[in-house]
Amino acid sequence: MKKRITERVSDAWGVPKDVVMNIPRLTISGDKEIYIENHKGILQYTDTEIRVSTPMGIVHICGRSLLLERIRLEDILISGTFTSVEYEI
Amino acid sequence: MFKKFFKFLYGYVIIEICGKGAERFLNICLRRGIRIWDTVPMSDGIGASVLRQDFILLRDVAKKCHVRVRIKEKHGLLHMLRLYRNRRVLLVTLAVCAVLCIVSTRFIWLVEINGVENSDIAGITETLDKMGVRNGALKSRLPDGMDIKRAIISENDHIAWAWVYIEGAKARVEIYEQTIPPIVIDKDAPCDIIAARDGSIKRMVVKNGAEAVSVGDAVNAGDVIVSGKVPAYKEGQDEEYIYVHSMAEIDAYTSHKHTGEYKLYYESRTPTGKRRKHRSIEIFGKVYTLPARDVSYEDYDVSEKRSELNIPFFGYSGIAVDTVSYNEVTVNKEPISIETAVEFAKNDLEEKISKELRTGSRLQNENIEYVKKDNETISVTLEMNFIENIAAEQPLAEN
Repeated sequence: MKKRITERVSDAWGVPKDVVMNIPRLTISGDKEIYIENHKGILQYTDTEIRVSTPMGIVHICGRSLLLERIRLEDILISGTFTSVEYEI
Repeated sequence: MFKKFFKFLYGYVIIEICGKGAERFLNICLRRGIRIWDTVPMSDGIGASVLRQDFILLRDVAKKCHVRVRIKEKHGLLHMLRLYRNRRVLLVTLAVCAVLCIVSTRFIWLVEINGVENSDIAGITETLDKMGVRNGALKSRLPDGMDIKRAIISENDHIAWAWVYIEGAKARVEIYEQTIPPIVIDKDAPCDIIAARDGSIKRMVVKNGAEAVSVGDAVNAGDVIVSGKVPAYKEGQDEEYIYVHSMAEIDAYTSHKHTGEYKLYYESRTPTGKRRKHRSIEIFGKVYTLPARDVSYEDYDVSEKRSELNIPFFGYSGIAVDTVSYNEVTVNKEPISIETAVEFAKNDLEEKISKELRTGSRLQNENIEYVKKDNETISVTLEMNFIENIAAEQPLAEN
């Protein structure tokens, strides 16, 4: 598969991919907290399902008592008890 | 904390965003710089909070996303003022209360003395009273802290340091007592060596003074063992004495015996959850007990709590509530063997005996006996025999 220029630069210079490429960064703390940076918006928000649009697809989070703790233009903090985190690409 | 304060200051509304485009509504708000927080999912949309000033901006977004935005609750300073603007009596009462509380902090309503263990607390209270540190005293008329300190130290014995801290309407007096040094007899002053406790003399090394007893003799506490009054005459001459500072090492067999009663069960107390509280309100130094029902529980634990009303930046306001809680407990008795009870008793009695011993004591033997008093109690006696240095210096009464 042909690599994109930004990916080649990232590999060559050892720079983190999320810095040079337009991809989201997900930080998951156990099954209680997910922090998503570089998102494009919320697509679905219920207490059992949250779908977040990102530049590389949709992040689909399932669980119980899900809550958007913080929502800003650049990041989202989700809390609750997660059962699955999936990419819909 | 600061965020909450500013939100309250600016005012905010809790809204309900109903419709299928609620998520899109959120995204557009974010892009337009409208701050949204406390988002909660609902059955037909999303609940959220926005600043009062931003609410007007939501109308366009709602139209675009085909959602309905409804205000659920209003919060903030402006909203509160608007809500209470017609309740003038309430506002005046609140203002009077606030002024009263602030004025009350100009006075001392509670004098709290800490750190007193051996000194006479009544004497310290009297000194404080004389210096004007009393309930109802105006804080601005209190004397200088150094003067109060000097008065407490000079008028009361064994006080090393004292200071009065003013915390709102409370005067907290911190006392540090002196550690009283042991009485040291001057090495040149004549003295006797006496028995510090009952015993039988095992060994005597007399360095100075006249032996009053011999090895093997039984002595009682207080008996003179080595006298500082040494005869300096021969038979037939006039009685003449020299007085010396007696010095000796006296080892004696001593016996220590202690008896105690111990239960043949282990008692555990489980709270039942029932409790009765007796409250009293302290207002500017006067205590008013609130009516309460008597405690009818068979077994209960008692705990005390004091809640003081503090005004920010002023401190104690002079108003406090004292609560005594009576928590009902179920007492469960778990039987234990006699051996376990005796073991427990031995540890307890050993601790008591160890407090009586002089330094350097050597255990010779011990004997423990018990008598069953009833089905639930035993009486345990522990006897421990030691070799102890029982020499104690005592100044001579006559010189």
